[in-house]
Amino acid sequence: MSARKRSRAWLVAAAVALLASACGGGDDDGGGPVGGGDLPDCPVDALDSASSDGPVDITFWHTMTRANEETLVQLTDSFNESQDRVHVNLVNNTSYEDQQEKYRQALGTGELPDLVQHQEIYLQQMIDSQSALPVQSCIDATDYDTSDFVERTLRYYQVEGVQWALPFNVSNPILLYNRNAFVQAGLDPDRPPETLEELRSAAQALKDAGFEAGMGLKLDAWHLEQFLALQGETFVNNGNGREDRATEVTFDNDAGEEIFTYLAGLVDDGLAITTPRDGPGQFDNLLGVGGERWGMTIDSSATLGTIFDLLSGGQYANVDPAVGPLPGRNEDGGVLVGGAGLYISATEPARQAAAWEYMAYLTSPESQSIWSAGTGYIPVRQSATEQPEIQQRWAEVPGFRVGYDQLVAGAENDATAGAVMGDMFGVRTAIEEAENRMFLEDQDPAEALADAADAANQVIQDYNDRIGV
Amino acid sequence: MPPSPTERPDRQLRRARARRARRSRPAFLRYLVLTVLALVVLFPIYVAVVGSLLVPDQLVHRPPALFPTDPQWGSYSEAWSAGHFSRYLVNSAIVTLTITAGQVITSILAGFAFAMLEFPFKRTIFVVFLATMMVPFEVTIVTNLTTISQGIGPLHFDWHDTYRGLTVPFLATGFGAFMLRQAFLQIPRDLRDAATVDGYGNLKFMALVAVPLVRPTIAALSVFSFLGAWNQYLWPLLVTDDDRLRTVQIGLKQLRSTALDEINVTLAGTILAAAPLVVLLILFQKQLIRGLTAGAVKG
Repeated sequence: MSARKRSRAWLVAAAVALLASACGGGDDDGGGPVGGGDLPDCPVDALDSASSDGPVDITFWHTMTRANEETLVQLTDSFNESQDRVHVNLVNNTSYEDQQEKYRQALGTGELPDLVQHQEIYLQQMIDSQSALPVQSCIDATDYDTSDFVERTLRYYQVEGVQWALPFNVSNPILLYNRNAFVQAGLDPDRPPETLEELRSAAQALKDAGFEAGMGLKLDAWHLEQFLALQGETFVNNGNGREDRATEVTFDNDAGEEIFTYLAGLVDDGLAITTPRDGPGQFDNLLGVGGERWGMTIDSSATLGTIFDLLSGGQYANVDPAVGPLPGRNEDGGVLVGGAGLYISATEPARQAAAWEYMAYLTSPESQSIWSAGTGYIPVRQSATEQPEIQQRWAEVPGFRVGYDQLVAGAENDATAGAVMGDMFGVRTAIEEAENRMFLEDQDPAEALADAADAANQVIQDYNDRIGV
Repeated sequence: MPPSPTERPDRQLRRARARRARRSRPAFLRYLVLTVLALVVLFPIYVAVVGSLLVPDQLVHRPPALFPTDPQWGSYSEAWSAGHFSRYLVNSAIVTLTITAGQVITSILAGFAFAMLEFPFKRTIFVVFLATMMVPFEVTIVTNLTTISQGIGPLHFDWHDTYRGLTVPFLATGFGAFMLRQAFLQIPRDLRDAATVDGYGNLKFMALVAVPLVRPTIAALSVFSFLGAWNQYLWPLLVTDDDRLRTVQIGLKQLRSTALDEINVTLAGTILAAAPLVVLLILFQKQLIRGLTAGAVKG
């Protein structure tokens, strides 16, 4: 088939771009056709003729495991049974990182899926690979109404006015605290700290009441991104990479320095104890709350299911877990979106149309309600919150709605949309290394921040050089 | 030094005792050190077994529990079904046995040729074989993937999602050819000459004389191949989408959970996936050690 051959040749070109982004090496290919006006077509009609002789088979690569996978299988089975135009085959590729590796290899061989779930940080790389049909094309082609989406989840996947992916599984950081510890420290358990100053004084009160520290602080680069966004500050230039390709970070300013100084102060004064982000100690910040070593911690809303299951019984009977929004938001800011989005990577028209149909189903209010109740992720549709599954879950454990409430609160701007840049993973690593030096080796916060900015700028520059822009 | 005949017998006895004591004191120490080291090696495995049986409350307890007071065998059945082990174990067995058999056969043939036959560029070709051992598998992934999904030169393959894609790239190994060449080199020339006099050709000599003589090396190579093939993760993940073809290491990774209270299931899966290897190691322990040291003291 010549059409297939052509698409292969095109794929090889795309692979070169993405491989270059990962492995180094020169490439003279430009950033690709980004921007409105010249988007490829979304062939929504192709499905009508193709599905007349049986459903169109498409493949969806995902990384959901265990309970999350069970919910996804349940949703997909219902979809497959509900109509006879599209049949979806699920492929579990075990983790975001391994799947990204597999995807990159597949760009070279052409064995791409039709739909793929990529972690949020791969957005720029997906754009540069030119292997995805922008969802924007399909939204335009079907006059799809996106007004019901939680705006910030949608905006995360928008660059230069183009919607590249649809948000699917969303989480964000919350403040977890022990109500009983708050009572012991003379704090109001119904009023978790809202500002960074209140967080610090709450930590102080807990420490004064005899706790080892006020809070457990995971060593995670996410904190800097989140605290900046909460103040309406961007992370990289060119509108957080949303108006044009990001070329350098913007966090080496007063706001960034304040955050670093603040965090270093918490640790230096013994108000916070740092815990590892991964490895065997990755739950230490949560277990510290359970073991009453400290009274608060910050973690992803996605961990709440476990927390409430575990900390509310047995040996942790003294702990009464509760959830508050991430402290530190002002009127220009808002909490950032984490999680993953769905990209159409099919190249044949009927499969593209089929992938779009399934994607629209997965992000519908009904599906999102089932998805959110089954997994603990935050629904991406506002009207999903009126569905019975979520209503029930939120009634049972009110802490679950905090992640959603803080996502619809605050300002919508480039800062709260989140930063997009090439090799965000490398940038986070650079920040983490600087934070480690600051927390563990007593490096001066201003110096650590400057180092982090330099290292991050180098990562961005290297990526852009490899892509050839 | 032999005791002088003039020495009294009781003195001889005392000396013999002292000699024994000298010998046994180091032996005792040796066993003590080895026992401690064995405990160090076995402790993580013990913790994994215990962890797989703990209730969630104990799992997150600090310090961790070291004995399952209320063993949860259910974590094994959950790991078995959630990790698709019934299907994936069969696939792993098929893939591993094919790769092991392939590597043993090609290594015997290549090793025999390098050790016993004369042919042009023998040294050069052998060096090229050795060179493949220096190239990490990760470097060749891209070319191997292109080959199995598109073919090479005039050959067209479409081996994505097939057992061929999972096995063919691993049927030959430079390491195996090297290992067996060294083993075959130890066979005395005379044996070869005697076989020639009896009218044995190369293949007959190889099959009836040489291969039986290097059995320990072949057993060791089999175990290495088996271990390597069984533990493959990235390649099977890259070349399969179809659940019916995936292997047990992928199943194990699918058990990975971000939920704190499900670690017992992940640990149970780890033990299930490792069990066949443990059985194999116990069965072939002797050959494995003999095979490893066989070439080491070649005169």
